[in-house]
Amino acid sequence: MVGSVLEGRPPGLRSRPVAVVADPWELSLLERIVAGDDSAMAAAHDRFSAVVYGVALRLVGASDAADICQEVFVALWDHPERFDPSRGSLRGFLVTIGRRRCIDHLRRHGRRQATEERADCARPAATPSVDDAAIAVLGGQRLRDALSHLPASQRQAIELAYFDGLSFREVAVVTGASEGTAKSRIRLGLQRLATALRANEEVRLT
Amino acid sequence: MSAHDHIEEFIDDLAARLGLDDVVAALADTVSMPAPPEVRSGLLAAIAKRPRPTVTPESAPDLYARRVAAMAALLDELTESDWAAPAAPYDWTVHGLLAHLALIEEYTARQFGLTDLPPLAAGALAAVHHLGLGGDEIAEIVAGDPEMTVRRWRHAADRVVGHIRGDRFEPTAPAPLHAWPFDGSTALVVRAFEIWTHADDIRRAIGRPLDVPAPGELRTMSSVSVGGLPALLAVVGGPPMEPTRVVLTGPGGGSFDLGGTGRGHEPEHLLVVDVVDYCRLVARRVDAEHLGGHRQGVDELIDALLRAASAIAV
Repeated sequence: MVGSVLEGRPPGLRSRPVAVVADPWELSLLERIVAGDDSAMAAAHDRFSAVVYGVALRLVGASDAADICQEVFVALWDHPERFDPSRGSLRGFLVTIGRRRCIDHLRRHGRRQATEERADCARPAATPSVDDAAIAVLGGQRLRDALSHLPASQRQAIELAYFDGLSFREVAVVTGASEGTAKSRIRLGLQRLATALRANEEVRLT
Repeated sequence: MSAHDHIEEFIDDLAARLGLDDVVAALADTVSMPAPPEVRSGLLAAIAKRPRPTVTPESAPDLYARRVAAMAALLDELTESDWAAPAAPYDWTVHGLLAHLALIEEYTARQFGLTDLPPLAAGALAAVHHLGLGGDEIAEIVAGDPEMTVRRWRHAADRVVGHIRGDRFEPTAPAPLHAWPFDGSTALVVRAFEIWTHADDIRRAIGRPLDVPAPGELRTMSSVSVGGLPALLAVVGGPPMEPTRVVLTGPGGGSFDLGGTGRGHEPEHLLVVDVVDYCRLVARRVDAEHLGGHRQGVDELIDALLRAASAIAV
């Protein structure tokens, strides 16, 4: 049933309707990290590094992506208490940290070099041979499909905001729209993507 | 514009407010790419230089003294009716349990050379079987005033505390208890386990909440216990030791490698369990089936390690 997950909730007011059910594997991993088990960090890297690195590569380019990716995982080791399983997945948490570090990096060092390096980056030539591959392939393909069905203005705004790390103001400048319009396009695009993703999940569950 | 509009600058902030973090996270999947190998090796090298700060373990004498003090404080609060409460898992009342503990404390004092009687050798089971120690005498003690039993226990415990805080205490000198050839420090940790466990037995008997030792105490208790697992594995007839990591979670816990696990490598066998639950397993107050946590590897070895953990308790 397409859209049934969102029924009864006005778009834009969907502020996390239910508590996130924490992944037992992630909880166990986190406990191990807190207890000082470095093999848990190796496991975290093997599970999540591809997505963190991929985002960093897209945002800052190859010469800095590896360092930022490593910093993200070291930050998890140093401050595991900053991850709150009730607020989302460890995967999302690490990606968010990575993006913030990338955006800070871009602000400090400028975008020119990163943009040039990104232009040289090939798309993934091979999928990683870890669990992350299956997740990434499934999630990535679904998102690519959903993105391709967005109105062009929303797709462009989301791509600039996410893959180029632009602020709403910067997206507005690039697209020639007002900041409010740029933000609205992103919000509407995200909500459409959410509807498409969750409908897809429902189809797979039924 | 709402208040949020003033602080939202990026798509991540907007997604968080809308509860759409998962959508943004899924966007990342579209650019997923294997990280270069140096990220993994660099990460492991970096965290090797940043070991998790662990709780400072209590010394064995301090641990024992703290457990004695905690038991004394509990006994001070008992009412007349409390003394007659059944103290599971034994057939004793609370009074009987303390009588047992008093005799064990006197036995401990003997093993540290604090009485006129010579210490008994390890393995002298017939003479010093733990639960059978002074069975008749327990009945006599229980026939008396609980206050006298408290004084008797406290006298023996204080004698041990005085000794282990003094210059004559040798942590590495033999101090066998029952069947086990402990040194002085290990004997104190084992006794601390027992005093903590019996104090909780009393708390259970009278409907009080159980006690959780301080992190430094748990660190000492758990690390001594885990360190003994490879040797105890043979005692319980387990398979040969293989590289295993034991991760005890919670304050006072830690990560322990047994059987040659190298740091930074996923161990062949893994046991993750709450440190307090682990200590209660050691004391046979939690069954392995109800332990919770996470296990990875060969069941036969993990099961045997859990049996080994409680091999010393009776």
